[in-house]
Amino acid sequence: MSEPLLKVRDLRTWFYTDQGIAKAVDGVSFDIVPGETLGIVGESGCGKTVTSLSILGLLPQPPAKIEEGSSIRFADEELIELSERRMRALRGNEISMIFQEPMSSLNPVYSVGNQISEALRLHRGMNRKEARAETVRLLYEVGIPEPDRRVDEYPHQLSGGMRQRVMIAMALSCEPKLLIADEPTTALDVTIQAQILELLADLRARHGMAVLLITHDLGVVAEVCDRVVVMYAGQVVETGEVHEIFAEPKHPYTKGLLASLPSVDNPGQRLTSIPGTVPNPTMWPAGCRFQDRCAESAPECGTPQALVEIGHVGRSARCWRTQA
Amino acid sequence: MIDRSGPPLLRVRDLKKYFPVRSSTFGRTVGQVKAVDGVSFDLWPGETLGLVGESGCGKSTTGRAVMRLLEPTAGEVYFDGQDVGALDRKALRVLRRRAQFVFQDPYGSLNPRMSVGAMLEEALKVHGLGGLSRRDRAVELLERVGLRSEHIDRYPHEFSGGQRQRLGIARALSVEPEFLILDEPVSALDVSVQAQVINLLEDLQRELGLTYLFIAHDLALVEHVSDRVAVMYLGRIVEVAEAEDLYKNPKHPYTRALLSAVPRADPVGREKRERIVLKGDVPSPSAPPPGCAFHTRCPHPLKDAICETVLPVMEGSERGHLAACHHQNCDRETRG
Repeated sequence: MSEPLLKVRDLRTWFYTDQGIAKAVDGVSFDIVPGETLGIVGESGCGKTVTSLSILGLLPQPPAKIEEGSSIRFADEELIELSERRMRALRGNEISMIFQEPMSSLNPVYSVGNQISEALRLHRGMNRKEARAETVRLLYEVGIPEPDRRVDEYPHQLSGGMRQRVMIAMALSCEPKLLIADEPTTALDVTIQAQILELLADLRARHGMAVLLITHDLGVVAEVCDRVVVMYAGQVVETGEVHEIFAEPKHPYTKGLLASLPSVDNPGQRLTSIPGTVPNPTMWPAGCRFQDRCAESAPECGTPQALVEIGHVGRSARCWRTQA
Repeated sequence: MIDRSGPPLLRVRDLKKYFPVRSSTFGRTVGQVKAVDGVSFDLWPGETLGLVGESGCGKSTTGRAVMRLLEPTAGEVYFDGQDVGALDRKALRVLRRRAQFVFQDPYGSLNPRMSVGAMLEEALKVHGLGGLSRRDRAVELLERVGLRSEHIDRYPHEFSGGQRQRLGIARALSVEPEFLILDEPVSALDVSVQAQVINLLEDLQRELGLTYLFIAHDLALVEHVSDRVAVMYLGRIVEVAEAEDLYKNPKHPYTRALLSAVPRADPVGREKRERIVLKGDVPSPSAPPPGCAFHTRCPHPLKDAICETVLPVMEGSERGHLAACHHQNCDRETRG
């Protein structure tokens, strides 16, 4: 395995609110090596988006605070201690991000060409003319038809799938080493989702960038990821190769998630559901955070569970049963 | 198995709903969005018909036009033999007691200033039901949908998404309907909670003999809950079949593309999986393509001039499996 591009260690991002301290991300660690696609999967409120925003330093502090002892290393730099100036140079240049809702991430009063060339002029020092030519090329690369005409259109003139392509073109403009994609296809229809996932896989193969894919959709994870991190209640509860996670889930939460999917192969069978809901982040249960919803809970679950390696490096689970 | 020998509970024939497009300066009508353009289907008592399609295909508009939440532009709807279009306001209200809606956004469809009890009792009051025991009935409803009696004095914001959707279902059930139109009832929920709500809907259907029109974009989910499935594209149904037939042997090229595009939660063999990725976007329903509306994106190898000029009709044979494609039968030899 090559040297990790991104190394997150014991990341704790807490929010200091009137209702108490919300430990949205509470001790998360994972690595991404160059060129791989790592999926972070979990339900709403598990901390997956806060993790990605922490990496990019995009959280307002306060109320957020990255706690002492957390570390995010990208290449050779510690991102947590970076100056805002250096961070801005990194963002968009070496690490790019695409979000779920492309309409709200694009500026409605500038043409899409204008917004992409801005990044090119800022980060790659191009002049107006060069930037425009490069923008047209990028739009072509992400599969936008008639790029020389589309370059002058405004976000509202484009469909949802086209807008997401524009966001991807923008994210790619500086050839980043790492692309963070936060629910990139959640707002799109399935046929358009298939187009975007194919585009991302294609671009990854061509440019060799690493992708951190954040999603709640296990189907998307199964289609595109190499490795998977499953999060629950601000913690990593299981990690592994994508085949291992789907074939042999170890943590009861992962098992529950997979079982609650309606499958094309067993229609008509009753769905297995996980009872209850994700607890409030200001009041995580003591001990295993999943115990109240777990089908297999026992007295041992009352003590905090550690993420322990099973079998080989990169395969781990946070449940005492898997360690027995 | 659903008994389809008797009369259907709901019969929809050539239903249309057009929305006018007005010019911004003089407000003149300059065009029409044909959101629903000739939809026909039957729904038998106790059955679940799934209505699937991508955004803008007209599935929600169909659901609303059926019960005249949106006044249809043309077409006929018969509910239990009654011509819904001919009913006056009073008769329509009586009918609506028998046919209730559950919407996607459980928060947006609950009044934030009304306690759960007040909300449930109001529905009973409007329809003249329950009398003095309305509160008892409200408690019974809450327990029926898996909530607790002490929830009765709480307000919608105090509930989680899944619980709110249970409230939406309790309110729909309060007037003892026979028919529920479920419009993306679990799309806003996390998977683990989604399964809870789907199981609840299935239990209720079995116990109360309800009939469902289940509108959703999630194909795996629709297959799971439906007896039959209708696929919509640009305001029309392009294929309808028993759920199993549709998924095992889709006939319309759009259905095939849609099914192949669904990400499967199984990484084994993903590289070899045959996937039909459609080019481009859905055309605007204000100017749908002539002939078969799907011809602009259709990957069928036999696509020809007929597809671009002649509107295909729904045809087929075995077990009521119908599709609107000129080339649906010359397909087995050409596929792959």
